[in-house]
Amino acid sequence: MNDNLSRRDFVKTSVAAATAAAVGVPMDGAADPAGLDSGIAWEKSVCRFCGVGCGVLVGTKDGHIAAVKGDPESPVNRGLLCVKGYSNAYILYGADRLHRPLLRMKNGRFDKGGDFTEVSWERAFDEMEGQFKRHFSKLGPTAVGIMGSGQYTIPEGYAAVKLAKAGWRSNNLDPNARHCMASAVAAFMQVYGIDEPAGCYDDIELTDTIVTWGANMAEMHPMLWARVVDHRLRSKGVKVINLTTYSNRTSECADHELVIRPQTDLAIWNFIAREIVKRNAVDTDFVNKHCVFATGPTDIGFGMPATDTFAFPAELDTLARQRVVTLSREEATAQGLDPSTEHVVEQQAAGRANAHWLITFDEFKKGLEPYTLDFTATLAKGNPDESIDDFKAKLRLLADFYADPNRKVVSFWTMGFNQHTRGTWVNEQAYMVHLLTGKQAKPGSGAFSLTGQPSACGTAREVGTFSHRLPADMVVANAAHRARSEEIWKLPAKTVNPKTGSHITQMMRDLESGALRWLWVQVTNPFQATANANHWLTAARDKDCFIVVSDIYPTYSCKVADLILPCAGHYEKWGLYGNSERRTQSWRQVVDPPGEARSDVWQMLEFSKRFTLAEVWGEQPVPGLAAAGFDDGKLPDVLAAAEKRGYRRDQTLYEVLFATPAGRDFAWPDPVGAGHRCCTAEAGGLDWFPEKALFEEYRLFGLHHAHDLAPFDTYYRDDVRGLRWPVVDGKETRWRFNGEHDPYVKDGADFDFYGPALKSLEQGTLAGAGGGEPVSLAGKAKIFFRPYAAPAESPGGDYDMWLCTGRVLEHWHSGTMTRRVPELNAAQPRAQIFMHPADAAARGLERNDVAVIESRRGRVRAVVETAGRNRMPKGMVYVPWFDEGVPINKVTLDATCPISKQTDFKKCAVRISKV
Amino acid sequence: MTEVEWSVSGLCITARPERMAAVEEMLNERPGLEVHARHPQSGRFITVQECATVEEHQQRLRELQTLPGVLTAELVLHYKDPIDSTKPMTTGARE
Repeated sequence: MNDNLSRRDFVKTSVAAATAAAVGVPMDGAADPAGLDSGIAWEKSVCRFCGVGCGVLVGTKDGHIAAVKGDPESPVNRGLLCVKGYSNAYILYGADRLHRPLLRMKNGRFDKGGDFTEVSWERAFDEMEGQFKRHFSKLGPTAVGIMGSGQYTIPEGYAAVKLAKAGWRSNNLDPNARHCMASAVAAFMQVYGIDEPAGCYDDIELTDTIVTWGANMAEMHPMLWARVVDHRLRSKGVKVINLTTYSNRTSECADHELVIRPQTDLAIWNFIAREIVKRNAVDTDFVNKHCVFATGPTDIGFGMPATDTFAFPAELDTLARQRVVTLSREEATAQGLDPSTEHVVEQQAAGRANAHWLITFDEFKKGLEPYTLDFTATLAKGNPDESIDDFKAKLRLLADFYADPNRKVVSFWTMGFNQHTRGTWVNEQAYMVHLLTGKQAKPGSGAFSLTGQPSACGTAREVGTFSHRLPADMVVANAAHRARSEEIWKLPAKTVNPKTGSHITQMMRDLESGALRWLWVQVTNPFQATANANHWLTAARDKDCFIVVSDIYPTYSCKVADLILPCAGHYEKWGLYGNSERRTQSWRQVVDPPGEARSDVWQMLEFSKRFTLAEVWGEQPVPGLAAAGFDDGKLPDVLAAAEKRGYRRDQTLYEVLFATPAGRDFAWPDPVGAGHRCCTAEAGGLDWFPEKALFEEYRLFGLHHAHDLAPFDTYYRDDVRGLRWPVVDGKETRWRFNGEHDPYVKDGADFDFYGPALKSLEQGTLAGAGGGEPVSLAGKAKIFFRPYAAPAESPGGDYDMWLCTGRVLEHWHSGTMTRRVPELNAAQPRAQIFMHPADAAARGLERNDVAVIESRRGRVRAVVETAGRNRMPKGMVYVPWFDEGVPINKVTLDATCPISKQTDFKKCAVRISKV
Repeated sequence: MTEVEWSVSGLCITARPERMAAVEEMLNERPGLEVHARHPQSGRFITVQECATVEEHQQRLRELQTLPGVLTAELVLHYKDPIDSTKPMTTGARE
């Protein structure tokens, strides 16, 4: 018809051809897809969003990102991208990108009640420094903190660890990943003595059975789900089972869906284990050679504050359960107690929730005994409209899948497990069943924890941006670990603070109590993301504290900040992420940050210039510090020792921690960056390459310690699409602990659970530790017995519904990035209350009515949705948390797993009413 | 000549193999969507979605994901092209 139409036809057939080629579908007579690429420079990269870690090709033209496509070379997503992945190109170009620092000012001076005013970086850092030193000089390192992120690049997270822990001697550094997978971490450490999954995504195509537990993979991990679906459709006999508290999109492709009551996953695992034992389906050889049995205390509370000082009156009854719990009948039965009498249990082990000891196999079996089919089905059935017989049949079937010795099984879970007041336990129970049946660390079989953020594994966990951690799984409480860190960091002995810092929720509580006075928020949005937010929003504005938020957009947290710093976005800087399967992936800077926006690494390096050693390495008060070799309540003056090492008192943290001789050896420009810029080096006027220097120093921690990473440049090679650590002799590891695959397994062993942590235990019984000599458990994994325990808060009285929170497909986390992509926002513009139509009708509500959702802690309004993607059972509502217009975390409860300190965002009691 | 944005997405849509015929019928009725290839072994359709605005793409993809019988709808490639806006658009989505 005309040139225009023929051009369109050409483009469409080219796009179809490229699509077909990417997913391996044959297509005849297709146009040459290469013709589309004229003028676009493609660069391999990684998606900015979830923990799957999809490969993305980023196309730039005239200094802007013009196109994205799934990387066909990526072994993770094989050329496909989900809705969010596609938005990687647009998240940098929202109209309200932050371009200059903003400080609250009145009459030309900083004022907490002032208006945000554009200031220079110099002025911004002046105020940050003044406020930091005002509080630090009086209260010491515990008065300052950083909230970080599983979205930190590896170099960013490492810079934060070094600045906080080596520089300021403060362990108040904790990531939003605490809310995301801390329970997975705690279970890995307790079961294996080392963090991160044994298996990898290859298991999807190698297995016969995929069970999702509290993981709506279809919406939250779409590209892995696409692999599951593809495998399910192409391979005979593959089964998919979805366990969930409400019916969701993952059920669409599932062969079986089990809608369960919140928290009863604990009972279901024990039912499966009991069946395995009863049916003689235990892999006795595997268990005898490689496993031991263990348990721990049950009176561990719910990670809530031990004091009522700051509680709202309505919170008091829930808070009381932190101290004393009257067991429900089900709990009593589940713990082997007589359910006909009342059991009032003081939560005496709240302070030592992670304690555990060995038990015999007979004791283990005794623990499982109450979890009969009848008991478990009655407790766990989540849909009141389903018959008990149907639910029992499904439970039996589930046990069949796990118990069948000829069936490989992969169990996936995400926040349904991890955000749980017994999150560590339920993670351990997954390993319990997989270890009992020998279906762990084998191709096609394994319990696999999925993560929600792009570098929750690579940065938050492996770099160690947690309040208790140091790099490569080490912890501040361990003297040998501190010594090793001080050696690599070239610090005087006893510089590193041995007292675990405040986790992210505790930092919020510290703001409220006045213990924390200066806070730097990086790559996260904690005032939207932390449960029970009314407390923290008020504290941030009303207390004598100074809050800095670094971000690319004005977030909800910016509203309560005193200073906002504009950041470089993902593709505007260099970075590396580590995904859920231990795969470290990299990208180069492809476009420049706008205005005066700067990389987070530059911000930390620049701020570190504001501190001399004399200001931070003298004697420092640390309330509650009690560690061997330290005086109680304080850190020693290490300045004299620093001088012996050749440092001067007037040297800055920048010189001592970052621009070290070794760091400056990594020159910028660097051949690996040919044709690319480095905004960190350029803004700092540096002739060295900070991101590379930080990565290479970080790498020293893991080398020869089962966390080996390849050199920085390797990840940037054209033929590399990430590598799964440990990378030994240039070779990645797919299945850890497995003698055929993992170079760290001792010679000749088929399996070796070699993680070193927590591998010496005393013998005890279900009733308690025995007090005998600890036994070495080198090379063994632990099979834990953990009982069912009721949640911190359940529906009843004035608050008659369960509230579960989470994400939706289109939006990621707090929506900071995705809500600025018009098409994502058009698809899902506002958070809704998903509820059962009968529950809505009982409250006089219809679809699209505005309702109030209220708990003991707060209330918000939202629109009711009775149809759509999530189909709720009666008695439960679901509200996503991406929408700052519906700040649902004002309603949620800040109870945590007492071991992992991860908040349970999936369960609290609310009431819904018509406006 | 006025240039506006015109864009095309290459989508891979997976259906239950036994329902591919019914799904294809639904796909053929959707504005701006063309089925270019089908692969019964994997339940996959290779489709091209043409939209006048970027905003529309995501809405279309969302709708595709909720069609009965569709298991996944994923994006492989998104391409923007400058095009003469004085000529009629084939999608009819933004006149």
